[in-house]
Amino acid sequence: MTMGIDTMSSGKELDGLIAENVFGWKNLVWKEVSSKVDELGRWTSPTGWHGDGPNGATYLTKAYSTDMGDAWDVVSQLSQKYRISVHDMSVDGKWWQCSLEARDGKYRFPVELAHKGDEFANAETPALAICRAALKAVMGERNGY
Amino acid sequence: MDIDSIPAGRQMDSMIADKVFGYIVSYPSTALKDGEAWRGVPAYSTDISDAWKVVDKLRETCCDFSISEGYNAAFLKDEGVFAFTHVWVVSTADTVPVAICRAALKAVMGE
Repeated sequence: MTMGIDTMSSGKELDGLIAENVFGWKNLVWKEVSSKVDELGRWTSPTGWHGDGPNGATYLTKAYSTDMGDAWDVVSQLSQKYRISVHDMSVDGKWWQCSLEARDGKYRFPVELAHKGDEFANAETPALAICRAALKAVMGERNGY
Repeated sequence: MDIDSIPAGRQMDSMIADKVFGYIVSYPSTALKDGEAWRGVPAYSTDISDAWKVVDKLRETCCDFSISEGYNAAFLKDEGVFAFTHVWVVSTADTVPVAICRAALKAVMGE
């Protein structure tokens, strides 16, 4: 599974996976619908992910893999279990790395030494690196890694 | 000026617009001149998406970047071809946008 995560692109598929696996959305369905404006001028039933989300939400407004503000929601959601760092890591400035260090109360020595539960991912953008690392972390937890 | 004591808010936002992006900023109304038009100064010190524009700007012009929990934001200024000429400019704050903004101001203004 993690092999596939490292090659996932930013976009709706990854956003949906993050919503399900990190934020607990259920029954997510992508709906291509013509947006309508109700009598109060609000957009209703816009194209996007619809389902059963936290706090009664039924429409996913987040673009985790492309918007840094939304990507940081992922970081906040995982912050009780992981310490995060995001680094610009290439000479040409085209690669970012997100590291999620499990809060296991143990020192890393040498610092590069990953412990069980630590995850990291590389990507062309920081938002995508965060999403890939987050997905690897939560899926690794479920698979007992 | 003690950059590490500047709080989040319009003053910091305006300083970022001025010092990092080079906009003409109208104080204290916190509008900036973008071409021939005036618009509001983005909320660099409170909004992560806006703060990340600061990161992108400095990555274009001078610096590598890193952020870790704490929050510790660091720009690596490459001032020559040798490793000893690389300087980490670091700032710590309670929020990510403030840490980014303070480190950015240090990077462009000097500490």
